[in-house]
Amino acid sequence: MSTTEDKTRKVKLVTSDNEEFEVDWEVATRSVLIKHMLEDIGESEEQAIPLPNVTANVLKKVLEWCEHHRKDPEPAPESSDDNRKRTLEIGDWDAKFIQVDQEMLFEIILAANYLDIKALLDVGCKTVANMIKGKQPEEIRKMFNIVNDFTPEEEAQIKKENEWAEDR
Amino acid sequence: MFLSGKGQETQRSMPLDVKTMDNVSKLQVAEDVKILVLNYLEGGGVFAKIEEEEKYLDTITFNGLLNHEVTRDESKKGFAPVFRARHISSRLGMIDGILDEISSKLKPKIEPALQRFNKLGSVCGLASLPPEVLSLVFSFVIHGFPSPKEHRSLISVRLSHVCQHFRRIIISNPRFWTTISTTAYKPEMRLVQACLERSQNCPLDIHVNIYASPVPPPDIEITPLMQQVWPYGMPSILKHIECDRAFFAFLPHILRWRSVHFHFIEAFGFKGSSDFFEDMRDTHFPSLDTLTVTHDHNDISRLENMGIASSWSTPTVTTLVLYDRLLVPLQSLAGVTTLDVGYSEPELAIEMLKTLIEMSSMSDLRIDISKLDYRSSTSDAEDLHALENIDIGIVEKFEFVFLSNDVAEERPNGLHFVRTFLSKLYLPNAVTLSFKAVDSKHYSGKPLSLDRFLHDISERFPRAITCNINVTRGEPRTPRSATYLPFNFPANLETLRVVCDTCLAFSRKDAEEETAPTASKIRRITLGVNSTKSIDTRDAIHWIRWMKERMQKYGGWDFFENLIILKGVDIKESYSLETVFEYEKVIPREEMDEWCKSTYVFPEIAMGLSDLESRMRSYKLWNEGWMRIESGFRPPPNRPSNLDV
Repeated sequence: MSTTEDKTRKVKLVTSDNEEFEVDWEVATRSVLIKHMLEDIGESEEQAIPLPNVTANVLKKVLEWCEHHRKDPEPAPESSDDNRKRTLEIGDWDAKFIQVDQEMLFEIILAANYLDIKALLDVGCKTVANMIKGKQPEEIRKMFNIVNDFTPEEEAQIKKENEWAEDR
Repeated sequence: MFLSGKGQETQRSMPLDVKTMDNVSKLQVAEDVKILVLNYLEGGGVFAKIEEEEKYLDTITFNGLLNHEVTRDESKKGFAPVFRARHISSRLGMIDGILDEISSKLKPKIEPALQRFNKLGSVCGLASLPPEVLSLVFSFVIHGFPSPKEHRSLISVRLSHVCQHFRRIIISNPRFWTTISTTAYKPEMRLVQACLERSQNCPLDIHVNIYASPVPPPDIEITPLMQQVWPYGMPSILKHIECDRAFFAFLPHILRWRSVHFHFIEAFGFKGSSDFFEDMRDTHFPSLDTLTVTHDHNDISRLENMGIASSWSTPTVTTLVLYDRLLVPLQSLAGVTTLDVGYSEPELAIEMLKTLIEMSSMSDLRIDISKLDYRSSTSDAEDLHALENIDIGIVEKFEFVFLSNDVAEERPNGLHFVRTFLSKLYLPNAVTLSFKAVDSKHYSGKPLSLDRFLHDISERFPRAITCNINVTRGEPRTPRSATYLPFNFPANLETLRVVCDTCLAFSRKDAEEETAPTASKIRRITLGVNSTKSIDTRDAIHWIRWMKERMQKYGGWDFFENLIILKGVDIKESYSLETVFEYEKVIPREEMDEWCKSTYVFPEIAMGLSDLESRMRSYKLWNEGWMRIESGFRPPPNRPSNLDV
């Protein structure tokens, strides 16, 4: 539970390429990792949080997302077993936000995973899922330069499985 | 090597033959280009040296030459100043031509380079994802909504055929095999068996096709009244039901059923097993949390066979999705937290409303009356009117789906009926509201008065924090069939989203008269507007301006953060027009004053309207009985004014 004091507090973050960012507590704590680190270091305002897995250009983008979503309610804990409520829809602002080059898209996903920002991770994964959706295996291979590395035995099994869609 | 005796234009258009250039000339051109680029990068004069020469040449006058000798160039072929001027002209032309050629060779390289850059970004990016993140991507591909056309388990199969890495992740994760559906009439049994095995002991979400066959009408005497109702004879009743082999494959796993979807379809001669529902009498479903019953044929809606469900023990059911079914089949409704219902028959819908009160745990309610056929009976509205108001204090999320044309009065008393239906619900603790007006695919020539339809939502849903309003209407989208923007909102509303594909209208006069002077808590407004040039959406700006002025006058302006504009683009599908909305821009509070001065939501598109077109449109509107006043449209004469329900 955040207090009024927390909301006015500033947090310093240091990226892997040694760039320092000073952001509002409310923005930084969209990341569960940072939130826990802040809880560990207590009231020490001067201490910067090192983020060795995130570069400055990626953190800048991640913080842009956190700033926009700073007032969003905490995401409800989700059962990993229940996939039924998954939607591929992406919010209006998020859809524009994630229109970045492919390298940055995956960097955002990796950063969101490392920083533990579930909602941002979902936005990134949905974007990749939308790229894959509706494509045949060969099209997916072509899209990501994936080599078909199945053994002859596996190929035979795959051939059988392909008939599942046809058998009636 | 310099081109001579030609104007610069001629020189530029001449193809450069670099093969004929000697090495000295090539070096000089390279040096020129290098200096040019360096000067440009350092921000200095790009042609510093040439400019000096040009200044000198510009000082040469007729009188000056009279006083001195007109010198010849070294080869004595021409005047020295002319030679020097030609030299500059040729040099510039040459550099320009070379840069042009280099640029034309670069251009076709740029797109592939960009594609390569992006492709390698995705190749490296995908390879860098840890298996748990790739697994999350797959779960969106397999389970994500909107629903795919093919069975979800087939998507799992296809993903497992990409490479060994994908296959390991897909096969080893039983969650990717838990949703099982089959093709009607011809179930894919080997796929069903594979899913049941690969899903291990995980809960299952299954789709069961139930086939309904017609039963001949009873052999009774046809009275004159019956003759009137069924002039072509009594219809067959779809009552005899059967199931296919997939159902019997699912049956041994009944303890794992987490959700079951019974979908009734017309049998069309299909012969399967009957009496299977009887075999399920008194069944215990220990894991079942969701029961869905739908049909694809109106005649099937009246099937009574689901009454068997009253013998089932379903202690964990929390979600019911029922289309044209009453809520009664289950032993207890007290544990239901989510209810999604849709009706085509008014009496079923009214019965459902009465039953809502039994659902003491319900937090999520969705009612779809877009297919409700209430034309045939005038008593429907009376029955509805007589119904007591239903107070469901526990509902937090509410979605209401209705037909745009009903609220637009394309059906007589449509607005009255839909408003009356909505007015029966009092959800004092609902925080998220969604109103979805769907397209009837029929011509509509009347305005849709959202302002009147939603006039009392602040009383019905007083604690709402989020409100989404989505309006989709058919063609043609004339100013006459504009949507009137609403102005009464719950006092605690923080986020408002209005997306509409039609012309927009706003009556400031009505808004001023019918809203109380209270402070606003709205933080964010998202406005989705159709950007098609012929669709007049200018009143959206009047509407936003009115809200801004109210916030500034009565309080709440400090809470307001931004306005998000979504741009709607019409996409012609084979038989219909669909508007796709995409994020366009954010207007922060500080820029709202300026934005509200605009005339068009998308000025870059509206600029294309010529004055003549604008005048013709004004004239047309005038002729149709519309008057544009400074605050927007006045209601057309046929717009209903009675707000009482």
